[in-house]
Amino acid sequence: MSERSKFFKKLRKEKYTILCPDMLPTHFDILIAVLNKEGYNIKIVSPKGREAKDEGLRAIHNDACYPALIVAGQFIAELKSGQYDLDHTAVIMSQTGGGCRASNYISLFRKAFHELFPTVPVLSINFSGLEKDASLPFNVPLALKAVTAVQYGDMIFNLELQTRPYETYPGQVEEIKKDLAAKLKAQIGKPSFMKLKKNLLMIRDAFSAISLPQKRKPRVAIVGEIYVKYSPYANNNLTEFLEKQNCEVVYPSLSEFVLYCIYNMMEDYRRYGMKWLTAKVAGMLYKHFLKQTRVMNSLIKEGGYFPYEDFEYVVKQGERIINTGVKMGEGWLIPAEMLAYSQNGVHNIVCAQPFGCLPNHIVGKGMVRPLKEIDPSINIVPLDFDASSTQVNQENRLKLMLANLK
Amino acid sequence: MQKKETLSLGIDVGSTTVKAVVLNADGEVLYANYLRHGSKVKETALIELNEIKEKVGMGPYHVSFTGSAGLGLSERAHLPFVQEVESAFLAIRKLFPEADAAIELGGEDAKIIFLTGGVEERMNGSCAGGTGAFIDQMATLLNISLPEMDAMALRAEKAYPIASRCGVFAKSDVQAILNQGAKKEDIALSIFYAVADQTIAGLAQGREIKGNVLFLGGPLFFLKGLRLAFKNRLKLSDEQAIFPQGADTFMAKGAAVYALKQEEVLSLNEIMERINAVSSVGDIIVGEPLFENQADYDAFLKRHKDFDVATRDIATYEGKAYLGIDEGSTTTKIVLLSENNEVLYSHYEPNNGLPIDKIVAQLKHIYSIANPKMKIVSSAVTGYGEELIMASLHVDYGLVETMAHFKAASFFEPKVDFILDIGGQDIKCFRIKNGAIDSIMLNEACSSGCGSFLQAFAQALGYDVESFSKIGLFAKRPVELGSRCTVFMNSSVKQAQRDGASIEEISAGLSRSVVKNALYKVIRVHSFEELGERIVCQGGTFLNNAVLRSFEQEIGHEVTRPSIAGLMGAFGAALYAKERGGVSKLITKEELDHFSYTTKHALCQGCTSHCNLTILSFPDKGVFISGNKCEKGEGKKAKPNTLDLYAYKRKRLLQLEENPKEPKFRVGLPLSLALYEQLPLWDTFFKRLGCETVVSPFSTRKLYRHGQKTIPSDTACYPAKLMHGHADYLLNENCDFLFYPSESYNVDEKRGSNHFNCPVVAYYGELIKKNDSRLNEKNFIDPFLDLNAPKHAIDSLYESLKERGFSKKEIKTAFEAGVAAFSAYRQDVKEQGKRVIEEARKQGKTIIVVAGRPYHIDPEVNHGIDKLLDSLDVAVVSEDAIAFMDAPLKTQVLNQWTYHARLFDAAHYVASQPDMEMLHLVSFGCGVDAITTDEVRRILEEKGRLYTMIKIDEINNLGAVRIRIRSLIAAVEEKRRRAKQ
Repeated sequence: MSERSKFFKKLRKEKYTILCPDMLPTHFDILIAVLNKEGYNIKIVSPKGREAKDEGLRAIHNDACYPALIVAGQFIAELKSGQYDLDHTAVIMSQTGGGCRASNYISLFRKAFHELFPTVPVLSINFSGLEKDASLPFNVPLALKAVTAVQYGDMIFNLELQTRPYETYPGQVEEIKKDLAAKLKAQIGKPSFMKLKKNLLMIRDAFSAISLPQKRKPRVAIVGEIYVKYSPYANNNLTEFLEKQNCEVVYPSLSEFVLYCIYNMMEDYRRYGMKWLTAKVAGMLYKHFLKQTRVMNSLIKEGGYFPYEDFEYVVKQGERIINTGVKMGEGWLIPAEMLAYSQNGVHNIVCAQPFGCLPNHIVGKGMVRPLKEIDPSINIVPLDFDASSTQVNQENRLKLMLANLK
Repeated sequence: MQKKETLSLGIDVGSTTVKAVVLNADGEVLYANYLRHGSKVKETALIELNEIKEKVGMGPYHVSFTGSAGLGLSERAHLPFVQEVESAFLAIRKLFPEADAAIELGGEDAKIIFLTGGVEERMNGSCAGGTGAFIDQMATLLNISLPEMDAMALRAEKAYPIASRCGVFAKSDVQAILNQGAKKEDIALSIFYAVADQTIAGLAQGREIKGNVLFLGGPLFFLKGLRLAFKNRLKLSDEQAIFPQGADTFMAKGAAVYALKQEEVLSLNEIMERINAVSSVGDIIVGEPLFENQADYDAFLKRHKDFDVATRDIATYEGKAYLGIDEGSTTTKIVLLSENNEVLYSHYEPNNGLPIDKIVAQLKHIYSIANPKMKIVSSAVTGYGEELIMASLHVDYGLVETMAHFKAASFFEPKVDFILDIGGQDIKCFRIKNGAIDSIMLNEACSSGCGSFLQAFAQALGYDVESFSKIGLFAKRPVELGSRCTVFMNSSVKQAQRDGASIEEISAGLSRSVVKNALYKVIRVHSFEELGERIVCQGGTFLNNAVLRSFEQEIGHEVTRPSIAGLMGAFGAALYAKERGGVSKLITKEELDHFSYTTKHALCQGCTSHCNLTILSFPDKGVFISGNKCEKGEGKKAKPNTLDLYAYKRKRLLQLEENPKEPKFRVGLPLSLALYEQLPLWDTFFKRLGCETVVSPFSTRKLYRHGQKTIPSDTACYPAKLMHGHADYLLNENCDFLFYPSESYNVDEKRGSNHFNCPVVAYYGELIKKNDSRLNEKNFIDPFLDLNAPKHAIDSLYESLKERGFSKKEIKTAFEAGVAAFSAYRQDVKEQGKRVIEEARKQGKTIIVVAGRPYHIDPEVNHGIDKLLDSLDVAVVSEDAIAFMDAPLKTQVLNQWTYHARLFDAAHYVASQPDMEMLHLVSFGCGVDAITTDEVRRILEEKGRLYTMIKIDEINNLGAVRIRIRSLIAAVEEKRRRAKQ
């Protein structure tokens, strides 16, 4: 048995509590249930208040990017709370790999933890071969289950965003979600969990309790760096704010980001002849996954909702504006999403980014001008997030975007 | 009876003022007024409304709020709100339909609206200081009022280039220019130009501002010099530049226009009731109070009284005296010591940019009150103005600040472990080990939690700094404001105000944020044990008891603060003067009576940098020249810099093949980012293809400005932003096309786990192509390629060049020749590096490894740091020459960037060489360096070596850099001296 297998077996056997950062609560809830079924004890941290941010500022170089700082901060705050046996606690986070400095979070965390919590291992979830000894092992069945869980998350996420502004009573969507999560989790480990279409339909049916009005509210898309755009803690509850301003929020799916990562692996082979085998596997995965998202999208559409943008359509839009060889961070995907949205009627876009994010200079702010040239109807507000950036400043800029709603 | 007319009321609550306007149905202004709110937003709004009640009447009114602070207030009062840019837009449409564009500067925001040719509204991002608050800060720095500053600007003769991106940077530039003795008039104008540049470059982002331009907002309304700067920069005629009457209440007018569209009609009483009902229920995070009660405070004061220094009456003292001067960035400090280390005289004042005059006056004063039998037998000076004061007043010794502070701190706490000095502009921290300075940490250009930061806040809120700090001492719930730069702090304070924090709570919160900034951002402390047992806190800012208390609370440890905390540099200098002794050449009492000097300005013609020289001439025929990057400006011949590898690289890089006689195409190669290393490759490539190449020259500030208007992201690093200037240069050179390769991967040197470029180096070509409207897919070629995969690289080059008629075979041959030229260049650099090291060792010189990236050889990027080092008589080597001396280092961080792997390996090698020291160059905004700095520091410090990092940006403040480098050299010498003993 390899060192890694032994190590992860120990984590399961000794019932280590493995802390995982908040990002997409809906998705992570199901995803983690899948992993926990394998014997882990993973727990999502849900930070509140300033504490996590302050801990992050203290532990991580302040010029490092905000997601690193805030994730480290929430781990530290949580570990300091005293509710864990530090000899049986670990933390886990995802790593995408690539030229963006985000790949270095794990090292930063280890440095910080080395002094604060020397017994707490820092684990990685990644598919790029990084952190060979400390990355969560995946086999094909588990990977397929995880991918399916992402689809369920995406389906719920899409429908909750479209229905919440029209709830018949406040909290209705939350109730539906809770109910769905319970139903889906109960299926984990059973063959029925993998019955994609059936479960997607179940999700859709649940949301049909809320009827949409003829005239919908203006739609505002949120794109950007993956953590900041999704995590309500990181982006000062951006979704809630926009919904209060009488808007409907539109988000890209998590699947889209996963497809983007797989696509880049294929491109690395096509462009530079790198890793033939990886590219082969990626190609197969890509096809399977893309098919799944198309199943989901057609079901959403049939239900009378707006589906996610089709990934290959997004790629095409991307090619109109930037070379798809730009692959660090969210790379070409960000301008591609913006253009795809605007072309399909969602002209109002918040581009959420960590302050000083390197790829964002190119793919975020750097593409605003060419986007406007291609599609003058686009209404973008680039928004920087930082441990010290204040709501006043951000809301004021959002209000400017809202004043020009299209 | 006639139906009562419904009026419309617009209220603009900004960061510093409340403005209100009442319009009647015909759009006539019935009332317009503005009041400063001093953070009492609600109260001031109510005062304003009461005024309206008296002067205009009860209404009813259509009402709307606008402005950054109006957002929160209106939300809680359930009253309509319109975003301020939108309100400006509405007002312009109504009042100035002929306008093509509008620029509005507010207290902390800058906005631009394009009205014709596609409406567009833009606001500054979160990090851009060129606004009203910035001008206020600059006035504080110059110690003049805004009207004075304005009047001065109108009398100016010339303008200096000042970094316009961020207030903090600009401050450093202004400081440097001030210290060189430049005239305040010229500086005032330069500041206004900086604001204009910032607004135009930062907001227009490539879109031209032309036609009739409307200028709005308080600063543009009040400051004629600022108006002039904008008008000149935009090249507008008098008719085109519109400065409307009542520009200060313009947004409020817009809000009133917006209000008309609101259905709800309210009486003034109803409006006031709603505002009155707003309670401050914000989610403010609070810390513990500084002091629980007076007794606590008294005990604290008593404890610190132990470190008072002995004094003696100068009028009766007979005997030897020792003079210490600390000529800091903003202040002059003087200490005169007796033979027994008693303070005979001390003085502290802002130098107002006239350091010589201040010291001359002080010396005259000392001579006039001293006992005639007192004699100054030795003198020393430290600080920014060290050379100036030595040259002008013949002070005997100069010493670098760090040594001065160390000497002073050791006097009070001989076994000191840690010194933290927070002054007006700088934070300095030293760790002491075995009686020598072991590491030095100085604040970077973008963290201004210093004394002047508190001062600026105090003034903005209408207090002087002393009373402002005092009111926070007993605040029950100090606000947590975080620890970031001033610009962020401004908005944190704004948020706290909105959430209802009192001025006392903000004051205490600010004091604590100064401490947090020093601890977490400058020292980067992980545990407080690192600081050691005996900590001395000094610097003027620590005289502030709120700050001192915050520090003790934060680290949970008592510290030593000498009563002369603000004078420690001068005190240390006096101690040093006493130690050195000798015969003093200091200007005598008689000479002082005839002392005068003249100031002249000139442009250095020594090289293409064309430094702005300031020449001071003294009565003894002595001359002091400042503003120069090298010694050429002083009339000296630049020394042949055979021991400067940076100079060698600059020369070698440009040793290129001849251009072909009958070129097929003219190809522009921007000397930028990756091309600082790969130029030989691509230059050879195109020449072998039969093309002529045009290489843009090394960067200058002027080149930068020419490209500035197309920069989309202001916070990108300076080397990246310079590429816009290079593209601009080449576009004027009639090139057929420009070339910059897009390389996700750099050359695999087998030193780390991967070999990426950073995203900026990799993809900046894509950005340039899309943001300079003169560029397109045809005339800007940026193929995606990986040099490690030649076959694919050739394919990619072929794809992008085939339509110009090149065959794949030609491309292959040319590419291979290019790669050979590239290898030859790299090899030459390594070999020359060896030669420099050998020669330096022969001559017994210290070798400084200036470690950065290839593009740091650019004289504009590094601001002439290598030239500065040449003048300090050391050898200069670059990281890429020594990174390969040892086996690759196993790092603790993910080592996956080619350039950065070199840094780690170079640091590792330096740590093993006793005669080498490392100077780490970091470009501001380099995200990757947030990771490398800590790792390089670790590599060096683990081996007991000093880590010195210099953060560079647009700013050109060699003074600070000089101090840093001299501190490094002084600390190294001190360490060696002790090792020998």
